[in-house]
Amino acid sequence: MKRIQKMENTQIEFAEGKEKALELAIDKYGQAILRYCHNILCDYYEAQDATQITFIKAYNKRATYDFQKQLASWLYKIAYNTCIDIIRKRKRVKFTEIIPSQQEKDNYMPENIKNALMTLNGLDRALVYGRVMEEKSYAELATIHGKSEAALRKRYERAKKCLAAILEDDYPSYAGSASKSTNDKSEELI
Amino acid sequence: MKNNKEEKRIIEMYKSVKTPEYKMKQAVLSNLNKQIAPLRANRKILLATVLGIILLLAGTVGAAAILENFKIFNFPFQNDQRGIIEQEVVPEPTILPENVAIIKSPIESEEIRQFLDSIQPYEIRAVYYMDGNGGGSGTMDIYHFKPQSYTEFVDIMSQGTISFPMPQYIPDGYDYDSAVIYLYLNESTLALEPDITVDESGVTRLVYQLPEVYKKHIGSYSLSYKNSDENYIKISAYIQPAFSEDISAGFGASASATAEKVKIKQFGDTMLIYDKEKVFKYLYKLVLYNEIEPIETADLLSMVMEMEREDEFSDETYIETMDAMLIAIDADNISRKDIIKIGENLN
Repeated sequence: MKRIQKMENTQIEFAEGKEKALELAIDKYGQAILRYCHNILCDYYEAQDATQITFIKAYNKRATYDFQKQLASWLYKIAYNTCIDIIRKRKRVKFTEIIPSQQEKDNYMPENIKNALMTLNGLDRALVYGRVMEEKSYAELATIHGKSEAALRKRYERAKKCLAAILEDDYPSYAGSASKSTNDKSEELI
Repeated sequence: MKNNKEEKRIIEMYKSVKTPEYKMKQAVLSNLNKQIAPLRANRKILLATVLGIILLLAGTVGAAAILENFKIFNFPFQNDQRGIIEQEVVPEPTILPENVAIIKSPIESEEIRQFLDSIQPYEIRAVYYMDGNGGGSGTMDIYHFKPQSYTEFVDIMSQGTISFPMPQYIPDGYDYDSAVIYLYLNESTLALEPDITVDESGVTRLVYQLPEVYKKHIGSYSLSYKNSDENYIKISAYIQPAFSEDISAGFGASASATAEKVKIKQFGDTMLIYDKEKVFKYLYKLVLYNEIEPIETADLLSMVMEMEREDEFSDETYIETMDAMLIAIDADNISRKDIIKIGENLN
């Protein structure tokens, strides 16, 4: 109850433009949004930029934020739109990395996973990650993506099947270990 | 949330992606104070010339050199109201930037041509050149197969998700000459990491290796036949996602060309262009369209195409649009009856 009250205060303070509330929001959601962007963009450094842009946009547009709604959903909506903007820019600029630096090559995402994820489009990558790893409800996904719950459910089911099939066909190591338990911490969003 | 088998498999995959933490708060607050978005572009060498512009320029210059004027036959894509709209075009004089000749020269060298021609299955080869003044240019060969025989052509085509019409009738005397099969690619392809080599003159060679999952993504083919007199018949077919009723497809022709509407049984009204001057090499070109249901095969390709539809149309309308199969048959020495017969026997 105390935590809920604290979060509500954060939402109100954020809407009021208090910088401390922005810091609290970054502490609470920053890493989760970075992971979200990383798995949509499949590029760690672009994900860093997308996350920063998300919080800067959110702060600059705080007047439009309805503090009675979940701050998390609003931030994810901005993050998703930022990622899609970056993906669209990629289409216009075909060769952006002629001579990538060593740092840029280290993407923190195995190449085979990147290839598998990149066979989905940006929305589907966001949907699958949001649903599977963050266990978001369709209602929340509908808020983030601005589409109906039914449409998202259909898309999710198809994207999930598609990705799972690719993993089974081309990357059986993931298919084979699907039932194994791991000690990895859950990436649950607060 | 109770996970099913597919979700468990995806969770395992995600668990192998490690996203390191970084000092985000400091970066955000610092940039917020400066009010400058921290775009990664600052950390990159941005080399951005869209290849199509060069190709378009080259095409326009070529056409302008041949023709004082030419026309475009537009064929509105509506099953019940297909008609031909003729549009005269007078090319504007093309003023090329001064550095275009400098840019184009290394790209067009024989060495580069050989590099592009040596493309292997599951590859994209591209060349990029910087002129030292901040300008640049590029060209690429999109990934394709070049089957050595008709049997190989049919074999590769049969692996695709989409069933393309194939010719069942070719006039006597013509034999298989060559074919090219192209894949349907999207931005994810270009997000792949290429192998890069840069030579002293500034020419950068890029080779992209495609994952094998793309083998089903056949998006178009071009199939050529020749006879002993080197006359040709070429059949090209490709899919076009999000081909709405409002869009028509335009085909350039010389000023002397004429076009008529011809009914072909499985395609309805089609367009037959006749050019006795053979300015664009062909004597006849038969243009066929078929609306096809949006590709809903629960296959990877449908995802790729859906994204194209989304890019073309707003969320509200894209699901209403149709995909299309477009086919063009052209030949330089064929009778009207024969080219129509080829169209009627596509299956």
